[in-house]
Amino acid sequence: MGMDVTRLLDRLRRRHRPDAAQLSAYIDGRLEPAQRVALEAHLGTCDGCRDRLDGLRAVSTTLRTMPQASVPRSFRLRPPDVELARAPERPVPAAPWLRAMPALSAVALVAFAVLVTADLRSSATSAPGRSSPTGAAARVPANGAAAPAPEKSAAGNATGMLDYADQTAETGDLDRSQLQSTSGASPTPPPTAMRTEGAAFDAPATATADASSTFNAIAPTEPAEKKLEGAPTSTGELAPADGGARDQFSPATSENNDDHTALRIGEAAAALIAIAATAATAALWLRRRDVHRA
Amino acid sequence: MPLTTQAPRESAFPAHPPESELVRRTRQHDLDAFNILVEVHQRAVYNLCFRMLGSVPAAEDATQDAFVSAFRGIDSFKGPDFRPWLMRVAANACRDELRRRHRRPALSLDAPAPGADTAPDVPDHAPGPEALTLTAETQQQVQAALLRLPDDQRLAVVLCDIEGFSYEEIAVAMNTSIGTVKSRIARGRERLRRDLAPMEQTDAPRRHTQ
Repeated sequence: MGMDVTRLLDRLRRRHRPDAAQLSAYIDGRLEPAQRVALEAHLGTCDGCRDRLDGLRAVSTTLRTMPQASVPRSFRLRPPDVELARAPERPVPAAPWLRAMPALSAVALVAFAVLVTADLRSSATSAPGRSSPTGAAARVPANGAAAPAPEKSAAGNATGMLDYADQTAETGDLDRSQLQSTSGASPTPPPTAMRTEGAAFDAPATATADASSTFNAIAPTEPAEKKLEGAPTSTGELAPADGGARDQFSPATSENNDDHTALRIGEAAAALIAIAATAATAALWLRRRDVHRA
Repeated sequence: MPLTTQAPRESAFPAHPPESELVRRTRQHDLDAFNILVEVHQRAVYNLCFRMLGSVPAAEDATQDAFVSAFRGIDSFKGPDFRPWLMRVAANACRDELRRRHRRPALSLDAPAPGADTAPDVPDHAPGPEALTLTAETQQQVQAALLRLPDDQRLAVVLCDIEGFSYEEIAVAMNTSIGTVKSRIARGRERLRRDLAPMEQTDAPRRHTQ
C-alpha cells in the first residue's frame, strides 16, 4: 500500500515539470488561470522548481533595477540629417584609393585604346596600301604561327587577337567604341581591324597552344617579343608565311620592333590596369549596394 | 511591471499636442513635430540601443539612425501605438550594427572593449521607491552577461525587463508572435540566471515582487 502511494506520487511529480517558459510567464503574470493554479500547487512540493523560479525572478528584478541612462546628447533631427541620401553615412566610407578606382579604370581604358590605335597606325604607315581585311588583320600581332591564306590568317590572327580579346574581354565593347571615336580621322585600317576584331570575338576559340600560353601570361613581355619576331606585321606582302617568311621579314622590321614592343607593353599594362580597376569598382559598387539594402 | 517608470511621463514634457497629432504632422514632413516625439522617446530608444550594443558611441549612432529611419519611414507606421513601432525601428538599427559586427569583428571599433566607454551616464536619483541601487560593478557584470545572449533573446529581455513592454508590444517591436516572445524572454532569463548565479546572492538580493 505504501509503495503504491509513493510510486503514484513519484509519477505525479515527474509528470508535472514546469520549464523555464512556464516559470517565466508566471513571473510576468501571463499564465492561464488553470495553469497558474497547477504551477503554484506544484511549487508547493518541488524545491527544485521553487529555486529555479526564485533565480528567474532575481534576474528579472536585477534587470529592472538597472538604471536608465540619460541621453548623452539631444537626438533632435536637423534638416540635413533627413535630406541626405537614403543610407546612413555610417557604412565605412571607402578608402580614398578605392574611390579612385572608377576613374583609374576609365583612364586605363582610354590609354589602352590610344595605344592600340597608335599601334595600328604605326603598323599602317609602315605597310602602305594594305587595306584589305587580311592585311589589316595581319598588322595586329599574331603569334608565331602566321598563316598564308586569308581565312587561315584570319584564324591565325584571331588566335593572336584572342590574346587581347581575352585580356580585354570585359572592356571589349568599350574598346571598339573608343577605337571608333579615336579613329574617326584616321585611314581605313583601324575600322577594318575592328571588324576583324569583332570577327575574332565571335569566332570560335581556335586557340592554339601558343595562344593559350600567351593569354595565360599576364605580363606578356616575352611572348610579345616572340610574336614580333614571327609576325609579318609591318611589311607589305603577306607571303606564304613559313619559317622562311619570318626570316624574310624580321630584319626589315627591326626598327619598328622597338616601338611595337613598347606599345605592346603599354597596351598590356593599360589593359591589366583597366581590368583590375574595373573589378575593384564593381566590388565597391556591390558593397555599397549591399549596405544600402541592409 | 518595472520598478522604474519606463514609459515616458507626459507631465515631464512641456504641453504638446497628442502623439497622434504629432504623427499626423510628421507624415506631412513636419520635422518640428517629429522632434517633439524625439524628445519624448529618445531616452527609451537610447537605453534600448545601449543595452543591445554595449557601448556609448554605438548606442548614439544607432539612436540617431533609428530616428532618421523613423522620420523617413513614417508611412510604414500604421498605428495605433507609436512607441512599439519606434522601438521596432530602433531594434532594426541595432540589428544592423550587430550584423556589421558579426561580419567584421576585427574591424568593429564600436564593439565594447572591457571597461572602455561602456558605462552610460546614469542619473543620481534612485530609480524608484522600492528599488535598491546596483553597484557599478554589478551593472557592468549584468551588461556583459546581456551581451553574451543571442541577439533575439537579448532584445526580448531588454524590452520586457528594462523597457517594461508588454508581450504584445514586444511582439510588435520584434515583428513576431507572442509565443516566440515568451520563449525568447524565458530562454534569455534562464541563461542570465545561470550566468549571473554566483553574484546574485551578494549584490542583488532577491525580492519577491509580483
